[in-house]
Amino acid sequence: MAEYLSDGSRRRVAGVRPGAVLVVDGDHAAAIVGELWPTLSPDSTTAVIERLTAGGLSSTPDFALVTWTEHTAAGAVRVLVRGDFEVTAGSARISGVDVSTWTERLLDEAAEFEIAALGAGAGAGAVDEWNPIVDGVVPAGRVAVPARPTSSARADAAVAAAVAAVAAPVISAAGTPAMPAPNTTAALSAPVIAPAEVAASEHTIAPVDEATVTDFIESIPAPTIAATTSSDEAAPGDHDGLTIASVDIRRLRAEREAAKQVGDATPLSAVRRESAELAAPQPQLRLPDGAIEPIGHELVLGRAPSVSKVSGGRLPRLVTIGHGDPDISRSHVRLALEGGTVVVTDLHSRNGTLVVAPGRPPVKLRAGEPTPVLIGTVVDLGGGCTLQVVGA
Amino acid sequence: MPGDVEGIVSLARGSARIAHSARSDVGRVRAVNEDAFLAEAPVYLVADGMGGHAKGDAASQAVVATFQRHLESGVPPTPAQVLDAIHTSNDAVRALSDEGEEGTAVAGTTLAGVVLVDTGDGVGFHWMVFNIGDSRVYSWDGRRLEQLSVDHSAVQELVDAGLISPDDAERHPDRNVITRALGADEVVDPDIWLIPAAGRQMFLVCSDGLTKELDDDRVASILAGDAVHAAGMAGELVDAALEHGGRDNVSVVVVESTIGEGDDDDADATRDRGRESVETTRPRGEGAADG
Repeated sequence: MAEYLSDGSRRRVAGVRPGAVLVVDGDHAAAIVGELWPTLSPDSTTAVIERLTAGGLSSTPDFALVTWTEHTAAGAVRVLVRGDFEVTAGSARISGVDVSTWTERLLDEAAEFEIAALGAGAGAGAVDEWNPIVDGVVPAGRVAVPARPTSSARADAAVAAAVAAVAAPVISAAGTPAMPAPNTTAALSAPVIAPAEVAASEHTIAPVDEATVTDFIESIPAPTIAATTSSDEAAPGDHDGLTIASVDIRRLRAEREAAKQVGDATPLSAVRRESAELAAPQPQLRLPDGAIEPIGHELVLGRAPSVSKVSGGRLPRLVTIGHGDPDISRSHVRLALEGGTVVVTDLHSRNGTLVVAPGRPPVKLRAGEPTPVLIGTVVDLGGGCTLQVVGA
Repeated sequence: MPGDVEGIVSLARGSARIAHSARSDVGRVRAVNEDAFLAEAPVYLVADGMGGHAKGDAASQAVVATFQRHLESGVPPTPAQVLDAIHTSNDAVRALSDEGEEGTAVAGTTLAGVVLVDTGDGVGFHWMVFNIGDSRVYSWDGRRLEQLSVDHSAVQELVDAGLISPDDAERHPDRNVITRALGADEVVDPDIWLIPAAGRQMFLVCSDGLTKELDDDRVASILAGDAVHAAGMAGELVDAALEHGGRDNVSVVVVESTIGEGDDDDADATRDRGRESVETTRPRGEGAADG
């Protein structure tokens, strides 16, 4: 449950839903929040940004959007702030001041946070009172999640209460100089219409399944197997007594499966996880020619892409790009969906691969190292060949 | 080459000319040839059957029949269609075993092969290499023989684990123990490679009856020579294996494809070695001078 402080000016309106809070400033705040509120969810970042920026960047209102995944105790909290808002989460303060677009941040340890409008009138309305809210749209300049333990009508003590609740200092917004925002100029190097999504973060490492799980030594047939087979030698058709029988294969596989179960990398659970992913919206890839390619299970892109020893019957899709451009390697980059996260791997390409998350400087991938990226990230293969990860 | 059969596969742009030679022999020791092969453009595979009650040859032949039924001759299938044929083959081999049968009575077979596939983006055709068991697929570029497939065998696991050297593996008493086979399990788990199809490429698909008699150098020297055998290069290789002892059934399919002649401006494509392809990429900034 969240709590909010009413905004007397009624210029700022907050929409609260499980897993998401959106506060918008401006003349049309009520209309915008009213429109977006029914769809607010931990996954609605794209929809919100698209609505808010629908009239272009200059007419985009100041806003703060915080989404979080509920089932994780202190799960990832995604924060987007534009203009005169500030979000405090633990020791992190994220402000939209001095940023031409908006600030985006992914925090992984924030269990509590507070959104505060900066400037005159914030929290200084007619009713200086924290009220609880579960779900709804209210005029509010400040919203705290979860509700403060000492909810009361103590108007001026609200900040103090927040300090107590959040453990790390929550600094009252009014008059506090805003923290310098992270450098967002890099967003401009991405396509300007692009930053429909959120910055990459090192905190989103998804579990990377080994495509070919190492077989355990224990599963290697000991000489006893040959002996077993030899004892069955009398069976007609077993030509040399050396070729292994199916029953042994079956047993070996069972042992191997058992070993994998122990190793917490069971192929069965991987399959189940993948089928669960299918139900969720699938990230896609915008190719240099504008075509959209579903990332699906796995993509390998390059001038003449190839695949080497994949197991399990699911093949990567091969996508030919940069035909005839010697800057692009034959198998340049791999994109895969792993645990619901898009993972980009540079396939030891000659000229490397850059990833540009909106609001972040470009990062050169280390060859062969799977790197998780968020929706909106631009993947630059060089030679003017760029890809963008987009939502479904 | 004498003994070669040529097939034409129509592609989106132009066509692929694929010549092949194929031969299977019972060997000098065995009474029954449990190997089977399929060599019909664009599908080339070898299956090495095993199992009691004469089920070994039934198993390998079931695989060939399934592939013939599933994949249209002369048309590159999609990778998914090839996977489907592999999984259906597994069902067909399992159907040969009676309920409750165990041990050597159960039918099983290896499967290794190459299929020219349409990967679907309109640009790329690929050679899809697949393997279950210890039959093998090699590529041959005129100078170097490169093993593409990785055996599913006990000794291969020992080699991978660093416990024995590849040379030891050839002499290991358990070298016939395989860890994957069609028919062994409800769901089969093939290893797959996709190699861009361009220019002139050669593949060797064979059962272990060849590779347990002849080492890679010997195979390479035969491939580098001329084939005078009526069954072409495959005939030469099988003959050599028989001369060396022929202790197992020997099956060999040699595939030589030529794609997009004159239409290929990609100079390095003719030296395609799949996995090492990145070497041929030009470093940025240096290329202008080199041209």
